[in-house]
Amino acid sequence: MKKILSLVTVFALLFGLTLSVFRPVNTVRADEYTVECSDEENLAINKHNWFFPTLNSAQFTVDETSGMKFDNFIKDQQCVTYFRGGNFSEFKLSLLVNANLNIPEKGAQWKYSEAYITFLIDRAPEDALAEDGKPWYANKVYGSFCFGLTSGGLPISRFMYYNAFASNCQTSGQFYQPSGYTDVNVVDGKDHWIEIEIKNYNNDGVTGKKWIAYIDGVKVAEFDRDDDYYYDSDTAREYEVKYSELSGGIGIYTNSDWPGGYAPSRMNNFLEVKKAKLISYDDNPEGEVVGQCAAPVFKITANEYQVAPSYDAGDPVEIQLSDLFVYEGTDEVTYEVTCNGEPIGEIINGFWAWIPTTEGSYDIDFTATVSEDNLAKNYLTIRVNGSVEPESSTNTESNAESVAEGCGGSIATTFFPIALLAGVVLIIKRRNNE
Amino acid sequence: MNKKILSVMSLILSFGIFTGCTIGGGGGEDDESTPIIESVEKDVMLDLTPTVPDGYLQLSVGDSNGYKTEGYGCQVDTHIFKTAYNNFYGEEEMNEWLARVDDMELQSIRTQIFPEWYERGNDNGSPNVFKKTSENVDFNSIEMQQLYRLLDICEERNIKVDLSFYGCNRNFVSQDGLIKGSWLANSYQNNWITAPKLEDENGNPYPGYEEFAEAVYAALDHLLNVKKYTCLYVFSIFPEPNGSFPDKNGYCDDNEYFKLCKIVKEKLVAKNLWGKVTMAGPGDCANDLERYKNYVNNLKDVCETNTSSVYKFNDESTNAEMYEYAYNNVQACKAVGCTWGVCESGSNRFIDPANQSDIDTYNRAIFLARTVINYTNAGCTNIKYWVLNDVNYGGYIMRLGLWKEIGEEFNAVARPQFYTWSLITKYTEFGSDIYPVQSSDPDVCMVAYRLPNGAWSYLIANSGKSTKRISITSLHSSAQKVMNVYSVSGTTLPNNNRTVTASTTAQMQGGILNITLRSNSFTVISNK
Repeated sequence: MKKILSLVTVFALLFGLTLSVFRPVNTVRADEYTVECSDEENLAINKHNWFFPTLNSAQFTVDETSGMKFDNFIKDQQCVTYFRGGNFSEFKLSLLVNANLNIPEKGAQWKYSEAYITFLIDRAPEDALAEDGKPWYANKVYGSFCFGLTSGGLPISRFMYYNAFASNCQTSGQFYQPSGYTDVNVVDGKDHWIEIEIKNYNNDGVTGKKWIAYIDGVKVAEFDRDDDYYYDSDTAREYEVKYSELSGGIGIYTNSDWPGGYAPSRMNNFLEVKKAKLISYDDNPEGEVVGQCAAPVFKITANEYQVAPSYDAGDPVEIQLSDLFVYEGTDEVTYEVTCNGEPIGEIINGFWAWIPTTEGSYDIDFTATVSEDNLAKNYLTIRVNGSVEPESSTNTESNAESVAEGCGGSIATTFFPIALLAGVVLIIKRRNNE
Repeated sequence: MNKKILSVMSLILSFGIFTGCTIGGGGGEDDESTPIIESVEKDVMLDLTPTVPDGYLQLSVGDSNGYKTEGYGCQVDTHIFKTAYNNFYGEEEMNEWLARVDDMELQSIRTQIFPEWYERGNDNGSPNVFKKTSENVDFNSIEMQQLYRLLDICEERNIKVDLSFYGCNRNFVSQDGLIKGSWLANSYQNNWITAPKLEDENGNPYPGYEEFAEAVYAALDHLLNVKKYTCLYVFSIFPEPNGSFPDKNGYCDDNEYFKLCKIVKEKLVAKNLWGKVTMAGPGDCANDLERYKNYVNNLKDVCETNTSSVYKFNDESTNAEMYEYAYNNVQACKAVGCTWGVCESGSNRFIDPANQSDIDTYNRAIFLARTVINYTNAGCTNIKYWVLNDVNYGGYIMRLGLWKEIGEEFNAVARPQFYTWSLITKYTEFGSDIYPVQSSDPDVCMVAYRLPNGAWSYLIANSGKSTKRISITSLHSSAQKVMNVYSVSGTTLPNNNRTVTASTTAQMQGGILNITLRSNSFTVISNK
């Protein structure tokens, strides 16, 4: 377990600790800039566009009116999501955010609360998880744009690059800021448009990808990544990286060093993304707005199931219903079990339970229903040997006692609930073709 | 159960035995925990010829394999006390946690410790003389206080502890905020723990192994001789060394690991601590037999018991596969005079390090019971499940527990696996003799134990789709008893967060006990 744990157990501090020296800071007014983003284009209000995190207690929500919210992210517990809509090589992502980020006054070592847009994540869309949006989770992230408050509560608006080509995003992440740019404070109680634009270039034969970030329409960071050879010191080797050919997914995560123990409302530390618009240039140089992801449809299907060759009358038959059907969705599944159109047995703890009493061959129909147009049927033939008289039982719960009766033997068995047994007696009908 | 009823039951029971009938006395509010055997009874082999009824599978309890159990338990780390990780156990929640531990009669735990917890910087420049008064040494750190709290719980309950020195915690941040990083870790950055550094900041040779050995000695000395804990029965270093012992270049060199183990032993021998607590290892997770043989052969003069981390199987694995894997490991250890145990385990259905896709399933519950039966039949003496309960490990929630997180969302609800694992911990005992049982039915597996007090416990799993009729035959005189039957099946799975109580009784009589097993079920028969 330790080996496995080590794959994910890294310090977010490595990503949160950057510059502790004073830097000049710009403030851009939000109301001077806007991006056209209709509800149809707004990716922030559709939960089906985003993978939800599972690994910690940070809270990521998507509201169809107010958009995405990243909340309760504390030390070592980032809040992360990942766009489900595919991979992109050249694109522009525009986010309207309320960066209500706060730093703790006490108990924190570094005092930071940041948000990152991660991109060029080398993960097949069908394999992606929300956690892939964090660089160190799967070491697949090539770049990120960081905004918010970095170490010491200082504003930041910078790109960070990682050696995903070496499967190493843990310690090689580096902030980059060319001369002429200063960090912009977006933690001012106002909404801001934060945009990143990733596009290929060819400058006299030198190819690569240019990363540009804008806050409220003002360029705040840029970074060129040439197609070239790059050295990774941890793996101690050189890699040829063709950035212009890279395509990848997009994630967002938030990161702070609030210590545990504070209520989210007390921290008042969250990020809202009210609008999100994505334009892809991959198939059209003029750009195409990336549309909404459809709700994933999980069809329920029957699963091949081999029953036992036969069952003895009086013995309980227990079949786990999830063994009869395949369903990856999260909606509730209801089951109906019939024999000759009549209900048979009982469903307990997700198992179909039945005690046959009469010899014969029973065709049992199982129907699993997710919705009216999403159901599946499975059919089992259960052969029963021998016949027994229906018995009364004293056992009505799993932990209740039952008393074996009679002499001459040493068998003491458990019994099915009396209600089940009674039901069975009432509803079993042998089929004509047995 | 009141005295009057008990008297009547006793009378009926006596009559029943006299006339050759089985009269069930199980159930009731507390009878399942009533020991039927109170003193160790001499066991002799009876001259009987049990007759197995037609259609019954004979499961014969023959001779012990010579091994004694060394505990069934779980990983429990001090994270449960770390509010810094958002683990809030109020008094009520802690009481419930303890109630479950008590109810399942947890026998053993493994818990992690790091040198950085108490030797927060190097004590001095010499690995030969531990300076306990150094300002860098603090056995009252928050981390150590949390360890004492856990050990106190174990001490009170006679829960045996494997104190596991996980390594050098490169990412250590003390809970008092004063220490960040490890003075002993090497420069490798891509793992949270590393092997001890072997060169200092200037590139000069550094006695990292000796310093680590000194740190192990210092902790054991403090816990055994100062704190006087008797619950410590095993310690281990760098479990899963094939992934946890990276040198500065990230390479886990087994030969270097062996070197460290030997230095640790030498230190403990020199300090008269060797033999006070057993050294276990390597707890490897490679699950590769040849590599494992290399471990045990090279550690044969160091480790007194061998272990593995096993995440190799799942509910679709056959009994034979599990048995064969364990048997090969047991034989490898036997060749060097050691026992084999499982220091952590689960299924191989990983989603990510903290999640497995089968975690909430009933099939997993039966699977875990089968692992115990098959490993034990093969000679395995101890098994710990990873992990007792869901808890925040700092940055992520470990969701592999026998029960879920505390709090409103999950309410610490027990998973199906709690009900099978707790039957194992409750109705076996540390130091029991193991009696392997062979089964000709691939769906049915069973193992028998004779507990230190002379009582017997049988663990039986039926992973088949139909009921099975079995005849447990035993010529052991001490086994001819009325026993309680505890059964877990899909339709009878409780949801009360407490161990399963007896559903009925059965009697081994004339060398035979017949019983019917439900499909896909786990049954414990015991007169503990």
